[in-house]
Amino acid sequence: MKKLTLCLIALALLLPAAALAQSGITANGQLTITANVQSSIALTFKDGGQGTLTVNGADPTQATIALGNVSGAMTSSSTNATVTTSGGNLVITSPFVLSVTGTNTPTTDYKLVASASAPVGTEKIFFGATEITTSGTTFNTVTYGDTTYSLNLQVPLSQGPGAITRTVALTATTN
Amino acid sequence: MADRHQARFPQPAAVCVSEFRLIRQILVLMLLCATHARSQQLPGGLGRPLQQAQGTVSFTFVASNRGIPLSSLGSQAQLQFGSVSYAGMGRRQGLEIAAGTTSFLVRTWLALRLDNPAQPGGSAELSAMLLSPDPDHTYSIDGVRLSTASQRIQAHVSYGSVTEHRLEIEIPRSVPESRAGVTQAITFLAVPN
Repeated sequence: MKKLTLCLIALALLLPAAALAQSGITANGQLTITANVQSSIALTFKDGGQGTLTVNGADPTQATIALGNVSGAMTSSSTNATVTTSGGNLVITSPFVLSVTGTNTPTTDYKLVASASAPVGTEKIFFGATEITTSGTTFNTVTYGDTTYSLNLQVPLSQGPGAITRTVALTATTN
Repeated sequence: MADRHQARFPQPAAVCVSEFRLIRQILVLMLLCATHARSQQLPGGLGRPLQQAQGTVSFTFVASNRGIPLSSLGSQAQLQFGSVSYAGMGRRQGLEIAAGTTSFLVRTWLALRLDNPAQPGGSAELSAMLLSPDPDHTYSIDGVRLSTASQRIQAHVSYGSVTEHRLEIEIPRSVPESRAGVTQAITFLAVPN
């Protein structure tokens, strides 16, 4: 009788397990997913607050700084750029903001290369105190985010009057 | 002396009654357990054998008209997004990339079919779960966020019909690319209703 009792207890314990095992009538599917995420960097212009920079609405990676009419007798241009004379040069200054964002990048800074188009005369373009050359000027470590630059166009007072149109190409690269 | 002997060693008839009660209780317990286990599976409760009643469900990934092609079909499929980025690299037909403030979404569609010859008019509940935890990415199907625990995607998927499901993977912008790559497996479960 004791054996029978033990057998019945064992059966009682096993039966639910067997019933639950049967309950696993499911269909399985497995989807393996892979994706390579690449870092990316985006550069856009922002107005420096003086109204001399116009960002291309359709493509904010392009902007125009119109310095207006200037002369050595002025202290500001017709478009609010600051005008001074220094070291025999007419210096026209206007700030602008460069906004660079990095995504999935390994560092918090990037490298910026600025290249100026050929001069009309002997005028020079500076970002702050750094001259932007036609062969390209490199800013090795710039932190992501908004950076304000002061664009200075230095025109020798000896240079004849006339329109000056220059282009600066900017390339940001993740470090 | 005889009374003391009787007290320590009960009569045979008393033993039989006690054992009978125990056996009866065990049998009742067995019946209850079996009934409970079966009622978890069959909406109709007791009746037909489970296997006969529900048949065998098969799960198949099929080609989707909306999503990017899977590199293999059947119950084991592979989905290769290739190279993707916040700036939209990798965007193509069937693969959408939506840029957000702090992350971006990679989105495609999957098609699958459940079959059950024993119950062609029936349906199953579709669930999904991640094979392994992934703190850097968020996975969702039809808006249901996935985890390593099974999550219900659709309560009733009819046998024999192809259903399409939106798969989205959210990738934070702050995760460096060395860690941002996606390698994951999603297990789908179909349980007969």
